[in-house]
Amino acid sequence: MLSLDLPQIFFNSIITGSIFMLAAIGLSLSYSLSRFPNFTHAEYITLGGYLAYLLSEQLGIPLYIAFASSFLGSGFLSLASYIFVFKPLQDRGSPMIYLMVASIGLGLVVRHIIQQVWGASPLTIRVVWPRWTLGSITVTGLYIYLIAVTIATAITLHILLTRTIIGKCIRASSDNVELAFSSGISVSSISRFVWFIGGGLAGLSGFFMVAIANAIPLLGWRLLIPAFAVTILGGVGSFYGALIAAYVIGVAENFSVIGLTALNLPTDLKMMVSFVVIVLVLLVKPEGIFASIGGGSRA
Amino acid sequence: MPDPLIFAMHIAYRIGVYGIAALSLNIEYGYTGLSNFGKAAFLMIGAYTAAIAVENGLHPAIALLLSIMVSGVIGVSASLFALKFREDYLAITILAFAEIARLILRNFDDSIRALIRFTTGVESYINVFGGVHGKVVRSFVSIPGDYRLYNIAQLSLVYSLLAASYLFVKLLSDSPYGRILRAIREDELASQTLGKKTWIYKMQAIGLGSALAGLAGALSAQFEGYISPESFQPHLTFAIWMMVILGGVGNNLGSLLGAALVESIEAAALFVKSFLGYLPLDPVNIQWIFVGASIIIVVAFKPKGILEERPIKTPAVEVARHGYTRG
Repeated sequence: MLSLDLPQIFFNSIITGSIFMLAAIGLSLSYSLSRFPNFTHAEYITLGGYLAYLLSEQLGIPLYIAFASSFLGSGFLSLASYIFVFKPLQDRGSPMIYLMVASIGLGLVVRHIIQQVWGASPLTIRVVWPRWTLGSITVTGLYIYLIAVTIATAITLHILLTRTIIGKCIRASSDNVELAFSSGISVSSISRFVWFIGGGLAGLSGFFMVAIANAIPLLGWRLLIPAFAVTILGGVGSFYGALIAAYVIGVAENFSVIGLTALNLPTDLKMMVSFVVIVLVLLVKPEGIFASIGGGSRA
Repeated sequence: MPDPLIFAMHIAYRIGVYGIAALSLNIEYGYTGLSNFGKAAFLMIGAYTAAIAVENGLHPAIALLLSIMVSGVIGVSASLFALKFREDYLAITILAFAEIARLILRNFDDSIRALIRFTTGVESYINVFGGVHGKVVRSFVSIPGDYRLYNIAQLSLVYSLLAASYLFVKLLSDSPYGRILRAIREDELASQTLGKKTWIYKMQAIGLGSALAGLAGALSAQFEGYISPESFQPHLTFAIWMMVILGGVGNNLGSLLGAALVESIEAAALFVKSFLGYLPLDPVNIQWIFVGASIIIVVAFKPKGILEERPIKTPAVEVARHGYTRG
């Protein structure tokens, strides 16, 4: 009755993990640089998804341009929210709770503008992807595309963080903002860069969510709790931690789906995996389980 | 077209209910500084408890008490582990808790049925929470025939409970106990050095706040007559935060003022929807864009809210300041 199709579970976990990784990296980096959890991050994901729908379905533009626009659109929204909302609030000395409240408020503004423009019902992109069957698993071109983008992102970010000056500045600021500032690093321009890239990657996760399933206004909000689980499990501000945590939670979620299906339970309950991870990690090791991976330095 | 007087009474009722909810967050955030980002869950627990209690033939007063108790107990047990967290971790955890609680309520009946089928093979028709279809809640007040008199009875019920809650929170916050809560908000470490076990106070603040939120949820459920997990979206939590911050953090009258203002925005949106007919823009979207944008403006330009927190006027403070009490 409980048949474990391990290759398929493994493959699904890679897909889920890749989306979690794209969704969570920006959240994790901006959390440590700007020192508050940004709940508007959910809407960067949603906007990326709807931009994909707008360009490829409504305007009939090739998908790779829609892909780029998801990145740029969400990146600029993220950058704008930092420059026009969160940075001025921090300069006024707002406490962290106010920044969190303001980020939920900004998220509502963006989500309801999206809902006003595109409506609340689910929208799908109709693209026919090539399909291959490898043994027991079915692979579509979209999944190959997602995995390629994730690998390229991971390698690019790795090179950026370890080989370039700006990457070293990001790691330094993420580790200790005051020390980085007093060493002459322009923390605010580093922050602007990180918010842009992080928002853009969130937009890409929205793009893939819409390509795989459909676009709804709550798209990003549904990914936000897994993204927080990845952030906390990987250690806030740790790129390599988030990388591993995303796939760990991806595997855990897919195994939970198998268990729930076997018991005939609703698969919606898989969200509990993320919640349990958040609570357990915060209780046991709040600095994150995988935070020390990558030579002990946070990035 | 709805009766304008009934419409006005509906808004007045909601102001009363959310006044209680805002007071409850004022205990948690306004006085103790706890970031409870899952208020909606505690209203939901109160609402469902009351619904199930009256469904099983319990007296409304007992249903209200049960809502207060169940919500308070769940609040305390959730706080047992969550209070050791930093404020941002607490916010994320309680927010996730609220989403999971909603998810569980939505799937509970299906899950139990599936588990019974799985273990015993018997088809059961268990219906506790109603799943996505929600629950019809019987009203606490029954005056058949006269709808206006019914509304007046409902209003007196909610406003007398609001007055009691206000008095309770006011006395609590002006008491030495309230001063400890404020001390924890201002500097938890300093309060600990004075020998206060701060986690106990924080736990009590969450417990009291959740209990009051449960009362608000129960009152709202019996008046609206229908609840579903979708009535307790994060929007609701956010609206209550907006009430407390806009009205004045740490000011009980401010919480009530905030509730009146935020509910008036809601009323305006409802009014547009019910009386003006077709519009190119959805009033619900406009409402939330407006509320979301205004909280950013309030947080930036009037962070203390409209009614600022005042120093407490008690004999103890005067003795500390002058060495004697006047009069």
